[in-house]
Amino acid sequence: MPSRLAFRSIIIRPRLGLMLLLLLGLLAVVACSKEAADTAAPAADETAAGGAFTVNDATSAAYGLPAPVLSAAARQRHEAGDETFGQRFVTGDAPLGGGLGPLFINANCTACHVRDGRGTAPVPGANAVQMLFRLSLPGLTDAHGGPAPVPGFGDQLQNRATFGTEPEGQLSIRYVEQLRQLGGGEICQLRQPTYAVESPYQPLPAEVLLSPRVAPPVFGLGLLEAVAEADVLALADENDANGDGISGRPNYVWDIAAQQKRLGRFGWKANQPSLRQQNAAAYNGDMGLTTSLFSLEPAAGQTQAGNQPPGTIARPDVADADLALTTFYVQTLAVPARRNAKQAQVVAGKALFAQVKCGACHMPRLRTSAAAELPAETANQTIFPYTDLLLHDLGPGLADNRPDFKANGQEWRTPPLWGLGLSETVNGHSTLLHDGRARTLTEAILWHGGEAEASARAVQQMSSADRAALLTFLKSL
Amino acid sequence: MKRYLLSLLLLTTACAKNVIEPQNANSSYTGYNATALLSNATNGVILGTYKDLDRQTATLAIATAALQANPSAVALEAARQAYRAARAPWEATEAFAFGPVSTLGLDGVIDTWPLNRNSLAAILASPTDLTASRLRELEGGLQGFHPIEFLLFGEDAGKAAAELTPRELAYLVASADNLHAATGRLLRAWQPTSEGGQDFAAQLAGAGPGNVRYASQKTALQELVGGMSAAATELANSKVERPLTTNDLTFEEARFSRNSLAEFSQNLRGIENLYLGRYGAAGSGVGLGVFVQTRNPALDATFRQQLAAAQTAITSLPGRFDEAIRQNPAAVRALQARVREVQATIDGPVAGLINNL
Repeated sequence: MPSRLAFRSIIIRPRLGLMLLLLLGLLAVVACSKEAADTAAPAADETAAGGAFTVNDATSAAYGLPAPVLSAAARQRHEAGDETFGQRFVTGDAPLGGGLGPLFINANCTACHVRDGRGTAPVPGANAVQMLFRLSLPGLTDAHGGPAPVPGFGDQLQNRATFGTEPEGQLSIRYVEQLRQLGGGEICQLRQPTYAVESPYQPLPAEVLLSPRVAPPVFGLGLLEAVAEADVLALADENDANGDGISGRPNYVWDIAAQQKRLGRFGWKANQPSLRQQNAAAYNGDMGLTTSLFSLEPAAGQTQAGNQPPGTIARPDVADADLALTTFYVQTLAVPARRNAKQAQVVAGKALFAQVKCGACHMPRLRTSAAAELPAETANQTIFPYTDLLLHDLGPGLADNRPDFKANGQEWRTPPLWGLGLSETVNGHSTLLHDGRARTLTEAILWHGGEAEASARAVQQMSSADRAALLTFLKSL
Repeated sequence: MKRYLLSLLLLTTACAKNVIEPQNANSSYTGYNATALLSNATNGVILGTYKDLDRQTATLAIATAALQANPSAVALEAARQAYRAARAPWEATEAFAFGPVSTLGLDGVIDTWPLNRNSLAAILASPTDLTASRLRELEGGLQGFHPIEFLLFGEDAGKAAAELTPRELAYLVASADNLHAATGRLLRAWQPTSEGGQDFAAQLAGAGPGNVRYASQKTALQELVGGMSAAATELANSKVERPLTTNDLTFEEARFSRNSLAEFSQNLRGIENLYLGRYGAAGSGVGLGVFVQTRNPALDATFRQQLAAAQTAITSLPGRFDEAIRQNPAAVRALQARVREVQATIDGPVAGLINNL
């Protein structure tokens, strides 16, 4: 049953002495290879990208390991959460994993977040997709200022259904290739996508807004949840008071449990305030599973869905205890350590990263704080996620033109860059951005517009050697 | 100060003997060169297992077609035998369930568990086409080994050939064809491009600087060890633990075919194959064991003994797994303990040897 394989740490045990040894061992190995003088902050700090949540692993298991600081009991809980994260759901009442659908996208978390990692744009011949379309109607919001659902479709397209129900429709993607000339004479090819819903089960309103989103990696998110709200807001510069062309806005979204607006942190537009709500929303929208937070099926109100009567049900498909386990699992996933941080080319690339202001949004360093509702292990860590958790205008090229709470149609939340260099190892691809359109790091950079336009242009105009150094730095993350 | 000395010591050790990258092999290099090991692990053991799997699923497809043509007791028994024979290499592959089987989503259409019984019943009761292409569109819980298992064996492994309906037979044949197609895709993903494949084997075997997935041989060795560990972990902590703790046979994966013990044995066999560097007649024998033996002969002896003890615990378990859970839970606990010993040795000293490279 490897569809719910559990990948365990093979390296780090939660003991300080051993961690020290490993750290020293790492330094020792690095010391043997060529290195450049890096007189800035101590390298060991930056190598430990997740603070005490760092694992020294560069295999395909690198995104799926438990934080090494977990106690034996917490680790057991993490492993139980690994089971619920991998749990395959099936139709109707079943002794194990019942409640799938009737509308859904995939039957478990790991089908999209393969090896706890990054999804791709749909690949021909694949049985499952790792991308979804969010839907809404222009000019309308729900009772809390969120996107207005489309009658008959809700706020998300489900491209699959249990037997006897029609899927809402299929994802249709077309790419048009365009060329960009780079400094040094190279040519980079970009693919510009257009999206549509194919074979909708009933007509979609012509004015529907559609936002494609691929599954993001899920490791390290517990640390991002533990960054104090005040620390995030301190990075915001909504009116660009410092005049650097880069603003940074917080999103404020509806917290269902708290029944109030809270800072949004998760999702491509920071439209979820907590991992618990994020996970419950994914169970609901992606798997057709109800929880105490989302008591209605995504098919609720749709006459054709048929398999079960829409409405509030007595017992949610996923019990609170299981939702808590899945949430704890995601909260306590470790972050892989940086590799080759002292290599001369990496050090040079790091300087270029700062020089062209990538770090103005992809903020290298954050700290976490204690919060009553979060696992204690996530608190008080210095981490290197390369995100500010804020919204930025990335221009019309990347725009989905679909507002999401305070995020406008050109804004996206800065995605973290940690673990980036292991994407190919873990997921077998290196496609990036919210819709997976970028096939390489270079393409991903060149797509940046808006607030990031100057940075992207600077990278485009760099010499081949400088650009190679920058990419080597990014792959060391 | 003590700390400083320690780090200096480690530094010296690391530089003196343990950096194993191939580019060092021509200089004054005295470390371990894993080229032969990685080549044999991928081209011998892993490809050998995937080739066998693909042959066995082809046989299963033929057996289900024969059953459809003539649903006799003999044909049913032959199809069941072909099912069990195909499970054997598949379960052995769980010791290296990384690479294309997960990144291409193939696991999700080969071995999704649990079976989606409600939808299977609804489809069989409906007039919908049961062609291979139609079934390929269904979600994973309706594809792969487990619907085939349920249709061949029934609820209590007592299904008679006469009970097989024409639609069940059609579902069986189409599913077995799809299963064979999926194992073929999996094999080709590992095979050299010269054989029409995508050559994942070359990426693992060719680990080293410049390799997009495995930038060092050490990482590739860690991948192998991680695969072995994951298989042992899942066997002990999920496949054995969940039915045993809950005393609920719905948690037994091979419940319909009553094939659990054979499958457990194959999980261990897959670990052993990587360690010994062989898959049946395939493989040169240059496995992780050769490396462990040169570095720590006592550890090598211990691990071989633990593997044998775990196999013995499985083969000597009285009765079937489902019976043993109820009648002899102590023996099942003992079996689990033997598997955990294997896992602990992989995670501890064996991984340690690699991590210190």
